[in-house]
Amino acid sequence: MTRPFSSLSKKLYLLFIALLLTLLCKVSSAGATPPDLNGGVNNEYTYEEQVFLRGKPERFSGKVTKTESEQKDKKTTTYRFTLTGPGEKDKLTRSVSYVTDVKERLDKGQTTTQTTVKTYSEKINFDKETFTLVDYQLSHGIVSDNRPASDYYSGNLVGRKIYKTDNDTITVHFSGRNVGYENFWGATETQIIDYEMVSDRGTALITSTVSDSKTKTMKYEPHDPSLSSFTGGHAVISQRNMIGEYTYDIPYGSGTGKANVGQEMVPKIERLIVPKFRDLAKHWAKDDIEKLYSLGVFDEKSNFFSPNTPMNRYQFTVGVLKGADVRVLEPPKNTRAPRKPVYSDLDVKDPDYLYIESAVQKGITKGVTATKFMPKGYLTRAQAVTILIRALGLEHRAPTPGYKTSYTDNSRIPNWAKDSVYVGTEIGLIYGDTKGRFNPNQTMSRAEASLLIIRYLNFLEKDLQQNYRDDMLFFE
Amino acid sequence: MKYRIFSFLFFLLIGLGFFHAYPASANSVMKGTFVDATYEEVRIDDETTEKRLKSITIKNSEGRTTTLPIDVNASFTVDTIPTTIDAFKSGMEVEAVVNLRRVKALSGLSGEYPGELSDGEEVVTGIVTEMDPNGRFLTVKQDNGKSDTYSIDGGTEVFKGTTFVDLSVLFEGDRVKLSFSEYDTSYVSSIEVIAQGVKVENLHRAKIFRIDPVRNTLMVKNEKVFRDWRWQNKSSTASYAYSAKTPVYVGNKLISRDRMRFYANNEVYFATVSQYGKQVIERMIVKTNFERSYYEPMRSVNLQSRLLGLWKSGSIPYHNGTILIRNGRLIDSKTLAAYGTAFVVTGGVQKSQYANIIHVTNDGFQSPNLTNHTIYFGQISRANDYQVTVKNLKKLTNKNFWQDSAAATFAFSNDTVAVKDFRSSYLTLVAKNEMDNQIGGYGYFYVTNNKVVGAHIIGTSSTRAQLVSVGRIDSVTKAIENVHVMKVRNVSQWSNGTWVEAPYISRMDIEQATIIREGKVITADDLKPGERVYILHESLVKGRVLLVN
Repeated sequence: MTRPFSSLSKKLYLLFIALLLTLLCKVSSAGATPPDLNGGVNNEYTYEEQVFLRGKPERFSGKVTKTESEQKDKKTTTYRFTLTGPGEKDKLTRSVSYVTDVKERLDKGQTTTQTTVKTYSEKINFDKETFTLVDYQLSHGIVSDNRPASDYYSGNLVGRKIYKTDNDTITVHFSGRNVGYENFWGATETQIIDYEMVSDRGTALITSTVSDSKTKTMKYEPHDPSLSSFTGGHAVISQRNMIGEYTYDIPYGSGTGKANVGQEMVPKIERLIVPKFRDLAKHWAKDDIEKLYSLGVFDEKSNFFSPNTPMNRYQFTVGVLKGADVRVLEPPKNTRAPRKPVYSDLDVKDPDYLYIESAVQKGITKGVTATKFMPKGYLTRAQAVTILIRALGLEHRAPTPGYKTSYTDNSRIPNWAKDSVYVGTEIGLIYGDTKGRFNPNQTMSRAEASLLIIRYLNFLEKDLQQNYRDDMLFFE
Repeated sequence: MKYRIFSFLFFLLIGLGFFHAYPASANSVMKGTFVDATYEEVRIDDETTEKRLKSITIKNSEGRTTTLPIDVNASFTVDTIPTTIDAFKSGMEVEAVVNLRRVKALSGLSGEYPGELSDGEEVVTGIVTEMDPNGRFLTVKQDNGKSDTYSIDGGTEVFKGTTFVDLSVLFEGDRVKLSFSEYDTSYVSSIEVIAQGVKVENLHRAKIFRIDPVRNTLMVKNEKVFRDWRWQNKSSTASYAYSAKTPVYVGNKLISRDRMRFYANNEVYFATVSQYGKQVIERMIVKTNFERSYYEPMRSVNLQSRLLGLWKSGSIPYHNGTILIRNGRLIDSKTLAAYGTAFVVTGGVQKSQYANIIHVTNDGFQSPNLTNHTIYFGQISRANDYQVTVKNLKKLTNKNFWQDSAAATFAFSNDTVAVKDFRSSYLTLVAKNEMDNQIGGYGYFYVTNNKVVGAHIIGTSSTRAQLVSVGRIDSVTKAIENVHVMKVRNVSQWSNGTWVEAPYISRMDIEQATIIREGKVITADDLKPGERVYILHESLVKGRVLLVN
């Protein structure tokens, strides 16, 4: 006798489990990572890669889905590929799950991850030949240095794939590296993998370089109708594209050559509020100030920006954190409990107070004395560059202490600012005056400080991309 | 009693003196080595306690230890850099600033040399704007516009891609990464040279169809490419990506991106490079008025007033957006030296007002990176012990003619590629054993730093190739009997001390040619379409020496 309800409850149970799994899974994270480790690229619709198993590059394209689930310190990433090849009957199906152990070292501000293969299945059908993946081993370690305004990471991987056909075994040994960064303004990961393909036919060498890059750029859009309350405004355009190249040397097959892949996603446009300041019409920093205002970096309630008055320490520090969307501390839940500010001259009730507390906690700023922040104090050049370089997390890149900067007034640069001045000059964030002086104690005007923040945003947006993608790929 | 009063007053005065003298300079400095830090448990409230630094112990040079309480706001530095108490290790040399018996500041010395850098930490990336022909210095313009000159020598390692090479691979206009081993030195310890995306793929002229400022794409129609000295039709419509860094000029004026859409239906000049299999626009200039073009030797270049002097057509101004090409690379105006022959496209109403394109014909062996690279022609008179002596020697000068030269002895090695003509092809020689069999034979010798890299023996005839041309390889194919033949476009031929436009080379036999790329001898199969080639040839159909870049 059948028990209809039991089968129904089983179905419901399965549905419930499926629902639970769906809730646990979330689609792709904010960073930029090329899909899987085969040198392939994708956009919203198409994925493509080159397959070399038959001794020649063959382009396969189709669909890829990536799902990620996180539980405690474990992350599971699953890729599913359904691709078709150049021939009518060429088909590739691949499903790989990786499990990543995440170790977060909050005391060091770093994260290390170790990835291995959890499950795999892969089958590539050609007209008369089928390649089946019978073994897949991988070890992939990454360290990420999580600085306030950007994370920088680097990884190494090594692995082996064994494919079987009816009459041959193909072993693919591979090793490689990946480098990347991730911040509010962009994320790039460049992956370089060398594959050694060994079979009865001989040994082939293939190198794949692939880069996934996301950037946000600010673009000015003029408002054409003249009878309007404003003349134009800025938009943030988020772009993402992937480029890749395979170089191969297959003595028994196609010989040496190159094959390229590339896919671009449709950009996203976000329009920003329009500024209406009355004192910027012909000012040299108009564009920079308006960009920052539109982004909400500087909140100005009046219709005057006052570009030539000194910038104060409080507003600048808040601006640096807002500009790079640095994560700030959560507001306390129990608002009744009296709170003590990190510095005695700060007010916890100020709406931006938590930015300062976060900046202190992340080591971006350390106050003027042990107890005073001097929020209304005028920002000096030395202070400004120190805040920015600490936000970027680059202050450790200076030589061992005791060096001299190239500025003629090197001796006037305070010890706490020297590393930042050195690194800031190296990365083109700051320059000296025409006499080669840094002028560390000179106060910065609001316009000058705006220009400096724009350069810092450009570093996050453009310089890092150039360094992590173009200067990696085109030099290979 | 008197004594007591006296001593009381004495100590009082001393005491007063002590207390009065100190507030003016209340701090005293204590030097020694760090011994230990002591902590105490401080109760914050009923449930929490905190471990707080209480005191530090310092040992002075006489071996006496002193323990001093430390101020809650004391500053800690090692080698002047702010740090925490954890950086102080037992045995470290320290100085403590003490005020009222409390340590206010503690500074230590790590004992490391100041100004040291880890390997690869100091890196400069930019475009080479100037190279010393003697290989002693290099000027690089960084992305932020800063330009600096650096020194190099034989110890500077050069890498291109993943290959260890020499300086001959480096051209002005190349992007490089320079590494330094010290922070304040101008001496470059290694140079990485960009391997792709730097050589100009094509020069285009087309009508703007649309400009998509969001996707950074230029859509064009009626597209023409510069080929064989004229604009030739390419396609009816096409689209190209440009990068966020590509400057957009309208005539000689830089315009902002948001103005670009006003120039649809205008003609545009643009130069593309190949990046990962895609042609990407690196420079573009919207054509605003009439085009004129010239192909003449350059007489002068004035960097200050931005004037290019041509032999016949006189001075033509250029501007910041002018597309400048030398050795197939986009160059900075600083690199626009006054030698060579240039193809110039100008804009102007009544006459040429400014140059939009200045395309300098390839330098061949004139290029500063190839100073130590020479082609000789001569007769082998002796060969033994990895040495070859050549008489009746002629040297190909950088003015592209054969100049008599005294007999010379060159070194060779197992890496020397030596071949000998055989019928319509050649035979490979084992340099070590077979060079002495060639005594009396004439041949071409490609010599760098007095060492033969490639030798090509042609036989007993002293007839040598006299013609010199440059151009871009269109194709290399195998004709009958597997003889490699090459087609070349954009050909210029050297004639009376200058380059002149020459017709397309539709069939040049290069089977018996010595082919050199990046200082090494390569085979005809290694040649790729689009590569720039300097050809020394016997006739319009027979090439002998090819220099490829």
